Formats: sequence, C-alpha cells, structure tokens
Amino acid sequence: MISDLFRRTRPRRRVVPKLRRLLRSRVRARAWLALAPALLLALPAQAGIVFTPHLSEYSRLPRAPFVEGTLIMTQIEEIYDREGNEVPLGEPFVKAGDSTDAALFLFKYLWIGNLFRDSDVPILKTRDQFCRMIGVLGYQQNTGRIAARTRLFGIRPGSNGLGDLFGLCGIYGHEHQWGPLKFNGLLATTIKFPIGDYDQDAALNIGTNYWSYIPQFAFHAEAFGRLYVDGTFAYQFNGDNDEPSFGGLTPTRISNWRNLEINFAWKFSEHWFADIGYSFRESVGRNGYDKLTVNFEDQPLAPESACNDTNNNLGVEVLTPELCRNPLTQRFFLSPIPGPYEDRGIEGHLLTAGIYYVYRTSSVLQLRVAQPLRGRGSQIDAQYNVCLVEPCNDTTAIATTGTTLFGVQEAAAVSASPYLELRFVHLWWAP
Amino acid sequence: MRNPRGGVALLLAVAALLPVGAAQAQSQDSPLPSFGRYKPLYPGQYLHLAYTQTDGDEYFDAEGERRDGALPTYGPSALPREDLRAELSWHFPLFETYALPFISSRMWRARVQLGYARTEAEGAVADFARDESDDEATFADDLATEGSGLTDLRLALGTYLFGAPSSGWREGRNGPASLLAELALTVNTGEYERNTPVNAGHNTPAVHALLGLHWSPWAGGFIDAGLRYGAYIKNQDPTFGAQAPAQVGDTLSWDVSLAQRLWPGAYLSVYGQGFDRESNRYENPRFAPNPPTPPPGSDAIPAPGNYRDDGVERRSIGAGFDVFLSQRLTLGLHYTRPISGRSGQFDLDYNFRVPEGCFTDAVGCTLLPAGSVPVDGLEAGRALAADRISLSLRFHFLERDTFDCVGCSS
Repeated sequence: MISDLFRRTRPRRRVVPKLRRLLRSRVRARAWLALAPALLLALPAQAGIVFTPHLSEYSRLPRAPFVEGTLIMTQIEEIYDREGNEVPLGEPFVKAGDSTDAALFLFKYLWIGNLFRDSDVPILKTRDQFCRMIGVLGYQQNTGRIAARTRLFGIRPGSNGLGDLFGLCGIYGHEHQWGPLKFNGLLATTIKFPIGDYDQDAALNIGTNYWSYIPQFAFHAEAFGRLYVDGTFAYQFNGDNDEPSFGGLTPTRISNWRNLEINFAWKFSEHWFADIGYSFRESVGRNGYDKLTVNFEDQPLAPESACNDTNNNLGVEVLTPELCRNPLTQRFFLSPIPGPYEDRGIEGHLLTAGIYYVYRTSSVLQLRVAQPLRGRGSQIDAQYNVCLVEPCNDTTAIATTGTTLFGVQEAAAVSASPYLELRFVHLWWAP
Repeated sequence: MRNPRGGVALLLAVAALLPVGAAQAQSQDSPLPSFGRYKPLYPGQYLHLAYTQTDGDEYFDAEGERRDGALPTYGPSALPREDLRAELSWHFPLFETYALPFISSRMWRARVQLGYARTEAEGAVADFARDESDDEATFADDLATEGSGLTDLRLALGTYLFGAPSSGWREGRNGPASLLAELALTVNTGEYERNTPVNAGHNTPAVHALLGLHWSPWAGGFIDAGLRYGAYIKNQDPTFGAQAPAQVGDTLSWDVSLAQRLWPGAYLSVYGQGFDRESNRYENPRFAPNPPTPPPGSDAIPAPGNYRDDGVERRSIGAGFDVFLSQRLTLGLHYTRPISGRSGQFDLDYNFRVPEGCFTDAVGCTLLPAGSVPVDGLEAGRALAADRISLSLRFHFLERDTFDCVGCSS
C-alpha cells in the first residue's frame, strides 16, 4: 500500500504373577490418571505468525528503510488433537476455562535498495534487493489450574522475554503488466537464529532452541488498481533440538514444514483497504521425541492425587470414592521411558481478515483477526514404568502403562483459538 | 511576536529529558521527573536514554518506619537494581488537514519504551533461595536470586487538551501552559523468572492514564505536574512462591517539579513525587521464610487462599541538573530521596499436617490450625526507601513532521 501511494510520486518500476496382574490393572488406571495432566499446550506457531502475509507484503516497495511494530494477542482455550478435534485446554485433567495467554511483539526492519545498481553484475544489477530483520518479544503464561498443574512436574508455567531472531534477504523480480493486471515475484531466504530465551524447565518458551532455514517464493499482483493479491510458498527446514523443554514434550527431531499462504485485499480508497487471507501449514513427516522425562516431581504417588485430578476437578466419577480413599492401597512410583516416540505430524489452516488505514504516504495502521479453521496437533503414546520402590526403572518396574501426551510449543501444538493482531508500519525516512 | 527560529530553539532547549517511565515495580509509578516532561515539543523524533541505580537496602515497613534492609521476615537483605531504559517518542500533528473534531486541531505524542535491568537479591533472602534443605512440599525449592533481563514494553499515545494547537506547530507557537492526556499500555514481555524475589519485568499487563500539566510562568521557569492512574491485569504466576501480588492494587501516582534556567543551556530543578497503591491481593502463597515450628510427626504447610496487604505508598523528593551539550543533545543528573512510605505485608495462615507429608485428602491425614506468620509483599508490595541516582541523555533527531507526505494532498 505504501508502494501504491508512492507511485504517485515515483516513476513506476518493472516492484509400567497374580499380584502383578492385580497391580497392573489398578496401577494402570491410577497411573494414567495421575500422569495425564502433565500435558498441556503450546503457543501458536510463532514462525507462521511472523510470515503470515499482509496487504502488499510482496510488492515492490520503494527503495527505503521501513520499520514495523506488530502486537499479537491471544488466549488459547482450545487446541487441536491428532485427530483434528478441538480440545479444551487441560481437559480432561482440569476443568475447561483456563488458558494459555500469549502476547508477541514483533519489530521488523526492512531495507530495500540495490547494492549493484552501479555495477555490471547480471540479474542483480536490474533487480532491487531487500533484507529484513525481525526481533521478537514475547509473553506466554498458563493460567489457573493449568499453571498449578504444571508446577507438580517441577515446571515453570510460563515465560517472558526475547524471542528468536529472523533474518532474511531476497531479490525482487521485474514487474509485468498484462492489461489491467500487474504482478511481480520475489525469491527470499530466511534464517531463524535460536537466540531467544529458552529454559528446559519451562512449559512455554519464547525462544525455540533450534535453527530454521526457510527458502521462499512469493508474488504480488494487482488487478484493476483495486484487487491486491499476495501469496507465498515457503519450505521450512528445521534443525534438531537436543535440549527439549517441558520434560521432553517439545520434539527433539522437528519435521520440516510446508507453508502456503495467500491474501486478497480490496482497495476502497487511497487510505482504506480490507483483506482476507488463508494460511496453510503442514509438517512434512513426523516429529520425533527422544528425551521424555516429564513426571511428577514429588513421589510416591497415591490414588488420592489421581482422584483429585479427575473426580474432584472434573466432577466426573472416574474412580470410586472407596478406591480413592483406601488407605491400604499401595503408593507407587512412575518413571517415563524416554523414547523414541513419534507423532503424526501437524497441520493448520487459518483464515485471516483485517482492515488497513494508510496515513499519508508514510504510515499504515492495521487490525487483523485470525481464526483457525481446522488443524491437527502433535500427540504421542508415551510409556511409563510403574514401580513400588525407587529407583523406578525397567528392572524394578512391576508394570508399564501408556498415556497419550500432547506435544507442546510451536513445532508441535496447533492452537484452535483466534488471535488479534495490531500492526503499525512506518516509513522512517522518505526516499 | 516571538522569532520562530528562536521559538524552535527554546522548544528544543526545554525538551530536556522527557518522562522516561521506570520499569521497576517500586519505581514504575514514579517516572524520572525531568523538567519539561509534559511540554509539547517540536514535531520530530526523540531518543531518551536513562540509567538509574539504587542499592535497595532500605525500606519503609508496614507501619511506615524507615528501616535498613529490604525484606524483614528474611533478615538483612538488599534488592539492588540498575535500569537502562530507552524511549523513542514522537511529537506530531495527526490528521492535520482532515478537520476531524478534537483530533486534527491539537498535537499528539506517541512513545515506545524498552529497557534492560540488572537486579539480584542479596543477603538473607538470597541465602534462603540458595538453601536446598527447604521443605519441598511447600515449593520452597528451586529458587533463584537473579532476575536480570529486558524490561516490559510500554506503548503510549496522548494528545494535548490545550496549549498545543496543531495549527501553529511549524512556527513553534504553543501557549505558556498545556495539558497532556495520555493512555499507555504495558506489554509484559520483560524477563520474569517466577522463582526470584526480583525481576526485570512484571508478568502482568497494565493500562495507565495520565494527565500532565506544563506551565512556563516566567522566562526560563518551568513547572510540570502529572497525575496518573494505573490498573493492572492479574498476574497468573506471581514470583517467589506467590509472595508477590497476584493482583496489584490500582495505583494513583503524582509528580511535580519546578525548574529554573541558571544560565543558557543549564537548568536546575527540584521535584516531589509519590504513589498510593490500593490493597494488593496475594493468591495461594506457597511458602514463607518463618513458618511455625511443627510438633513431632507433623509438618507445617501454608493454607491456600487469598490474602491482602493494607496497600503501599511512597513519597520522594529530589533535585536534578540538566545541561545542553548541543542543541540536540542533553545530559541530565537526578538524585531522588524517598522520605516516607509504607510496604505491603500480610499474615499467612498455616496448618500442621499430621502425619508429616501425608496427602491432605487422604483418610487419616489431618490438618490442624497453626496460626499465622507475617510475610513481606514482593515487587509491587514493596516500598523501598533507598536513594536513587539517574543519569540521562536525550537526543533529538528527525526534526520534522513524523509522517512524510511526499507529493500527497492529505
């Protein structure tokens, strides 16, 4: 849009025995009930948010420095399971109603110019280049019962601070015009530097602790001077994370992703625009989990704690009160089998809609709502050793039990809750 | 009629250091009272850097007495802190040519503030945090002492209700008095460790409303006075076993300063500032440094629930000296002395659990009332009384309308 307005003043350029069996059944139920609450959620795909296109995102902008501040707020109350169902956060282990609250502030600096303008370097000489740095500040916090639950595992329920740094550079193609249609393409490559705050003992982290390398093709088209279309295909190569957080509920082997996004905007006037967009993200293959350690910090466990997790909190009698309060019931210990495990991959479909106001030719104010349409989150069938003595391991285990755990964080969890985005773009210096 | 260039020079001079809002809990509602902080400045962009240091080794107790230390229930402690803050501010006309009621006829101010804080608890509270023999059933394990990092992000937008018409900004034509109304949002992206007694950030969003009056009653004399109201969203994860408030009380703060030019480019100011915070609410504190001694075969655990202090307040006075190193660069030094105040404290109920370590819901597990112990409120529950020293630098750049309009008509 900025470019659009600028065009009035610049020449247009081409822009776990009998006893054992008995124990097995009881312990299995208890263990499952006791364990399951470990799993919570995650934050929306940070990288996806960072790249969701906006009006004229890929148009040829004037050679100039641009700055952008984007504030994104969300309250995640539902996430997608591996079957694609929307699941209230924390259920069935805590009552619905709590959430993960998150805010991201993105600061972007974009430079557009041509370093080779006065050289004889082919291709580059006649095509503008651009480089962008994206800094992230974030806040992520589990609330209420979910936060209290998280502490039972010795895990911090949230985090604040500096996110990863994204750096990208690319080159614009020439602008082409066929009748009322104008379009241009661009090629770019983004590198995500994992410099953000990351704590293995946190349920949520602002930083991701793995590298990403993202080549991207994008295009921008305008028709009749009113319809603006921006689209992109990006393939994200992700590095491994050898230090997973939340007791290994973040994947260690992160699959690569395919991203497809398209955005349609309508120009009502020189100052007012509205847009609607669709964003698709899919993992290529499965995420791997090799270092599962999540467990109750204080053990041995007792059926009471399991009952607290279900009967009391949910109001649903999963275990009988006689069993819950039987003092003769043995206490038990749990220990996770580290892995490896694999999920089924993740997938997300997102619809975005927003309005823009362009102030003079130097600033853009935008409000956007993003609504997940459908998705698939990461879940793994984890195995736990159940023991009557410590240490609890494969040798001392009297049984093993399985439980399904949600993967967490941006590489594994897919939010089913909307988010709100407020964005301000400013041309710092006029070219 | 005043010479327009002289007017611009005067405005630049008066700009001194704008109100660089502090990010520290105890000083969050006491921004640096630089002179001219509420004055409408010449349109353009301004960068403000401010370094503030305090030893954090004195405090006002819950009865208002000044005492050495910081957290009496832990013993001799200190909560020293250094803050480096950067603020980018814009002064600009908005929709100047649209003739929109209220909006187009006055000047506007926008601010973005971010900083870094270095802070680490010292003394008895730090020894407590490092003690791994604490009762793990009460979560007094895995504690830390340092909460350094980026501070919260603050975004603000305001306008002048009078005294700064947009029609005369090019000529620097402002009245001798002006009134600024501003709304600000704190986005809690600052570092918050959740297991330390001190933190750079706050882990709670907040909204603030400000009225700032500026008056130049005589040549070289500047009076600035501000009144602000702060409302805080619930902290979902208050630090150090929830000894910090889960719900910070609404806060009313004020500041007033009188500055006088001593010689060209040099200004001396005296100021007063303070805040009154309503009762803070503490939710399910998980431990205390001074639990009741349990009888043999039992242990002591805090009773979950909501607890309240009686509010927090502080009054300070200070003096500052600002000098223009050049027309665009200003250096300032400020010394602030708290003179009165009151910290937050609440009585935490305890139970004896018999037998020790039993599951509270289990048959045979009994809880017996064990009385209560005083707990010092942390973060927004403290009113530290240590002196503060601030060094600030302001740089004015891009002296022009913020919003370029190259070749456009509106």
